[in-house]
Amino acid sequence: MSATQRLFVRQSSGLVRTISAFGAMVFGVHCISLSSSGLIPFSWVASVWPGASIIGVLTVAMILGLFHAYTYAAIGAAMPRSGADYVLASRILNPTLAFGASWVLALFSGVVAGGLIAWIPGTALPTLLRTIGILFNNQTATDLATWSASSTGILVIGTACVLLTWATMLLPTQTIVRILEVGFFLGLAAWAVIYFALATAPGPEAFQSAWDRFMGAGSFASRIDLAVQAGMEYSPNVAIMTLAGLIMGFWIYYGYYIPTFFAGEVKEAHRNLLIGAWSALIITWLVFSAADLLLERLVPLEWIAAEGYLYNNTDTFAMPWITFYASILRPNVLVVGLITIGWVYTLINLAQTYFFYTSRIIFSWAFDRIIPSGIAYVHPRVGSPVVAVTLIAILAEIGVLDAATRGILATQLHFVFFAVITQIVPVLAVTLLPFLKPDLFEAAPRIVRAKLGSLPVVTLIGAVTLVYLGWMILASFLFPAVGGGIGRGTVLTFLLIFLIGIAVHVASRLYRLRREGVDLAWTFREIPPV
Amino acid sequence: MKLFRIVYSSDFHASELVFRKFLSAGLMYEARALVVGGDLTGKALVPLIRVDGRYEAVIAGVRRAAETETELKQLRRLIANVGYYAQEMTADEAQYYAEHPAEQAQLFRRGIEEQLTRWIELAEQHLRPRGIPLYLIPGNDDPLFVDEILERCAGSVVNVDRRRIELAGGEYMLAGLGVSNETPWRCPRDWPEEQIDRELRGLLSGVREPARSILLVHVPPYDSGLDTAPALDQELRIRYAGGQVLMEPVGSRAVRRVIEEVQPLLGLHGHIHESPGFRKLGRTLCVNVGSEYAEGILRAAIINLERGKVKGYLPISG
Repeated sequence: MSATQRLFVRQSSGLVRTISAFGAMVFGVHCISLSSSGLIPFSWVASVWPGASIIGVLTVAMILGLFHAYTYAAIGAAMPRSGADYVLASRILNPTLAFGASWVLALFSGVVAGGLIAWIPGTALPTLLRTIGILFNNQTATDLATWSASSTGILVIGTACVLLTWATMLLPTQTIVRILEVGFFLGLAAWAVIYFALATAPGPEAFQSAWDRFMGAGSFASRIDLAVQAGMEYSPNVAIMTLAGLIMGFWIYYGYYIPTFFAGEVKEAHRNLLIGAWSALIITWLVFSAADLLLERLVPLEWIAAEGYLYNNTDTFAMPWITFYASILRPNVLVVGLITIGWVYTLINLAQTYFFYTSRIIFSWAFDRIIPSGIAYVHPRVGSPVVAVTLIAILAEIGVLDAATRGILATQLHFVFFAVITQIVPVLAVTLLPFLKPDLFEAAPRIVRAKLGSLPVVTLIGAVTLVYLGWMILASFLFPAVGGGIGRGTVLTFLLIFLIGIAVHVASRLYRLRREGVDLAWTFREIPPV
Repeated sequence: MKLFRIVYSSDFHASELVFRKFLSAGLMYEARALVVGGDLTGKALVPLIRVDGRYEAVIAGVRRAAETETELKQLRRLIANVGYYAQEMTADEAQYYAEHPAEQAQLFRRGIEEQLTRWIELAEQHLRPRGIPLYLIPGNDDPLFVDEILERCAGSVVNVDRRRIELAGGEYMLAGLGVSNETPWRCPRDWPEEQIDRELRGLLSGVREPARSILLVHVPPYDSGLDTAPALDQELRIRYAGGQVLMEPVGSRAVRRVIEEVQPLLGLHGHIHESPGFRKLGRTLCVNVGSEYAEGILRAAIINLERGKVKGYLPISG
C-alpha cells in the first residue's frame, strides 16, 4: 500500500447492515418466483403470441429488466433505508404525490400477495394433483385438484396459506431469511429434477409416446389442429415477440428489485442492490431458458403454443405445464414429489417476499409519522413487525376472497398496471435527481453519480426505464390478454385508492400540525448548512 | 406554559456538514434549545500527501488531487464533510506517522481540538444572538481530552455531561451522561453497567418531578429497539448464522432499569447508528435519531414539550 492510499483510523465502533448480496438475490429470485414465473413462459407466453420465441421473450425482457434494475438499485443507493422509493420521491419530487403512489403500491401489493396465494389452490396445486392423478391413475388426487380449484377450495386452502405466511412472517428476520434460502435451493432442486427428466428423454418420439400414454392415444398429434380450429394463428414475428417481451417480462421477472424497498437492511446497498437484482434476473433467465432449450429439443414451439392456447382459450382439457411435461417423462413418485415440494414451498416464499417488502414500506410511512407509529410496532422478543404483518395478512385475505369469487380486483392481472403507474413517481425522481438536488447527487454513491460524458448515467437509464414503464401502461390496454383487460373500473379503482392515499397524507399532516405542533412537511425540507 | 421546542441530534463524528446543518435546523425550526447526544469526534484522518507541488488523498477508495489553493480548500472541505480530519504531509511523514502510533494520536488530537473549538465558535456566532442554548455531552467514541475543550465552553454552548441543568425557566430538568456500556472496542468512555447505574441514580437523586426530567444518555436502553446491532465474536468479527448477520440488543441494562423506575419525560440517545426510532418505555419516550454522518445527512428530531408532556415529535433528515 502506498502512502497516498493510507487512511489513519483510530479505535472506535462501527456500523453494519444485515442482508448480503446473496440475501438480496434470494429475495429477488423468490419475488420473481421459480415456481409461478417458471410456468408462465411455457403456458402463457407461447399461447398469447403463438410463434413468439420463448427464449427471445425471456432474453428481451431480461435485458430491459437490467435497466429497470439499475434504476431501482440507484434509488436504494441514493436513499438506503426502508421504503427507499417513497423516501426518495418524497424528498425529490413531492411528499404527498410520493405517498399516494407508495400507498397504492403497498395496498395493492398486500392484496396481490393474496392473489398469488390463491394461485396455489387455483392453479399450482391442481396442476400438481392432476399430474399425480393422471400419472398414477389416482382419482382422489384428480378430485382434490377439482375441489382445490373451486371457489371453496381457493378460499379454504388460500386462507390456510395466508395464515401460514402470516405466522412465518412473525418469526425473526434471520429465520425468515433462512426459510427463503432453503426455498431457493429447494426451487433449484425442483428445476434440476425437471432438467433431468427432459434431458434424459431420448428424443421427440419419447415425449410423444409419454404424452399419448397419459393423455390418450393420438392426443399429441391432435393438439395443434385443435388449437388452430379454436382460432390460434401461428405466425413467427420478431417485432411482436419483442413487444410481447416488454410486457411479459414484467410478469415473469417482477420482483428482482424488491430489496430496494428494504435498502436500509442491505449491507453495502450501493453495491449489493445492483448485484442482487442483476443476479436474480440472470439466474431466473438461465433457469427458464435452459428448461425451454431442453423442452424444445423434444417438442416443437408450435405444439407448446397450441397446448397453452387450448388451456387459455378453450374448454379442452390441457396441461401446458413444464412440471407436467417433466413428470410424464419420469412418472415416479420421487420426481413428482420433489417438484411438488419445491413448487409449493417456493410459492409460499413468493407470498413471504410480498409480506416482507410491504411491511418495510409501511415502516417508512410510520417513521415519517404519516401513520400511527403503533403500526410499525416491532415485537421486542421476536423482533417482528406484528401489526404491519397482520394488516398485510388482512389485505392478502381480501386478495384470496377476490380470487375465490372471481371478483372485480383481479389483482394478479391488474398488478402490472398498478405497479407500473406507481413506479413512475420514484423513477422520475431518480432520473431528475442530478438536476433537482445536485448536492445529494454529488454526495451519492458512484452507482448514482456516474456520468457518461456530461450526462448522468442515472438520468439516461432512468429515461430508458420511464419509456419501458410507459410502454407497459400502453400495452396493458393494447394487449388485454396480458394487461388483464384494463377497463374504466380498473382505472377508477386506481384513482380511488390513490386519492385515499392523498387524503390520508393531508389529514395526517393537519392532525400533526394542530395537535402536536409539528408539520410533516419539515421531514422532507432541505436543511442548508449555516 | 408555552411550547418548548427541542431539536435533538447525535453522532456527528466530525462531519462538518452535518454539524452546520444541525445549527441551521435549530434556527429554521425555531428551537428553544439544541441538544446533542455525543460522539462528536471523527474516526479517521486522511493524509494530504504533497507530491510535486500538488496534494493527493484517497477518500472512500477514490484518489483525489488538488493543484491549486482553491482545489485544496475544496478537498479539505470534502474530507471534513464526511467526518475525517485532514493533515498535509509528505509521503515520508505519512510513513513515519504510520509507524509511530503515539505521534499519530497527537495528529488526531490536534484535528479534534481544532474542529471542536471551531464548532463551539460557530454555535456561539449563530445561536447566541437568538438566545438559543446548545446542550451537549460527549459519547463513548470521544477521547477523554475532549472534556477539557468542552469545559472551556461558555455562553450558549453548555456541557451537561454528569450534570443537571434546568430548561424553560425550571419547567424541565436535563440530566446528561456521555458514556456507553462496555463495547468490544473498549472505547474511552465505555463504563461497566454498575457505574452507569450509580451515576444515573446520583444524577437523578433529589429530582422533584421525574416526569418533567429529560435524560440525555449516549447509550440507549437495552433491548428497546433503539439498540439493535450486529453480534460480534471475540475477534470483533461479525457473527453469521445461515449466511445472515446475527443482530442483538447492545444497549445499557442500567439505562433501561433507571428509565423504567424513574420514568422521566424523555430519554435522548445515540450510539447505535443503524437503530433509529422512537420507543415508549412506560411513560418515557425514548429517542435514537441514528446517524448518517458519512453521507453528510443530518438525522435529527424535533420534539415539542408543553405543560410537562411531549406534545409532538418528528424525525427530520436532510
